[in-house]
Amino acid sequence: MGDLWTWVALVGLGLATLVTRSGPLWSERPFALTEAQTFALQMAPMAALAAIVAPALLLTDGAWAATIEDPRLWALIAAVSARLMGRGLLTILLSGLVVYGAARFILAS
Amino acid sequence: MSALHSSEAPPKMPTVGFPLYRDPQVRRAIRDLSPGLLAMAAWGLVTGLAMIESGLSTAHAVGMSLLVYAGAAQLASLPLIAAGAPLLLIWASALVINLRFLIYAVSQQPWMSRLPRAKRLLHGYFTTDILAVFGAQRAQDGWDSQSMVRYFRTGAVLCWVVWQTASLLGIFLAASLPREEGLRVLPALAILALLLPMIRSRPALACVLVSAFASLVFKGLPLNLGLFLATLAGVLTAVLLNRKAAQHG
Repeated sequence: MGDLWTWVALVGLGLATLVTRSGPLWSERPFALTEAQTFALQMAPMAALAAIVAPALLLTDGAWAATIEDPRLWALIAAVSARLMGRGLLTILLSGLVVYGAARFILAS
Repeated sequence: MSALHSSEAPPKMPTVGFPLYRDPQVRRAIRDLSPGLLAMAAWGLVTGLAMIESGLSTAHAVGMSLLVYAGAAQLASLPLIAAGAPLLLIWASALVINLRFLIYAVSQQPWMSRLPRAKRLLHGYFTTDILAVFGAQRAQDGWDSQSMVRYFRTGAVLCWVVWQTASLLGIFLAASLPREEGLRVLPALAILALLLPMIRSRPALACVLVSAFASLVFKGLPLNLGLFLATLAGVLTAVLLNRKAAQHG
């Protein structure tokens, strides 16, 4: 994809930042969200992140690739284990990366 | 001079020459945010690295950091940009991932309502997760809007400087290192690390599992429409489960 295309994408992403952080501040009259609205707004980001990350970790060129020979699967298992042990974001990332590197090294040899 | 001798409460705004670090709102913001800023720095570094590893040029990565200033949305859009996904899809997914900020903005509205519109929008742009969470606590403590604005501005500057410094450091670090094939997984693992701690309830877990599963089932749909359908399926599942739990509880 071209240079200009990427800049257009980035400017749009910046607008997405502005709209979501400042949109409700357009009006000076405070208003409240219902509990159901708040709940849906909390769930939506998780759903989108899951829908982006699942294909990135489990597919290769659109085909199922999650076998024991794919280091990404081991990284996923490590990250989920770290989460189940109650670890925070950085430890989860590090466990995923370390296990990914180790699995890559072992599987390549 | 007469103001000095009046019995009114001392002025809340610092006068010229009043050292900023002695300002109680500024100090409180620094104290509240410091632990979070450390994590933010680490995460900014990771985001900087991930932008380059996903294939963005240094100029694009710097531009993204300065323009977008939204870690989760940046990370999530990297695989989509790399795949050359339709622009509308890239923007829409960033909007969805940013939706939590609508909740923050609504909660900030009461103390921001005295500012003119342009300033409200500008302040809103600089909202971060930690700033919104601690700001809400101070507002609950009953702080007046002037104090809140000063608290928020201090936090906004701190967050912005820390994040951008770390992110730019990550960008130039990654750009100066030889391309390491093994780090191409970094953007995906960073998104995963961001997502997993967010799952704190049963409906949230169902939401994530259904959405992940649906994204794999719908992977063949044109224009990455699967991403939308999967997100929708995940949210609907969570909403239904939540409603059911509310009925039974």
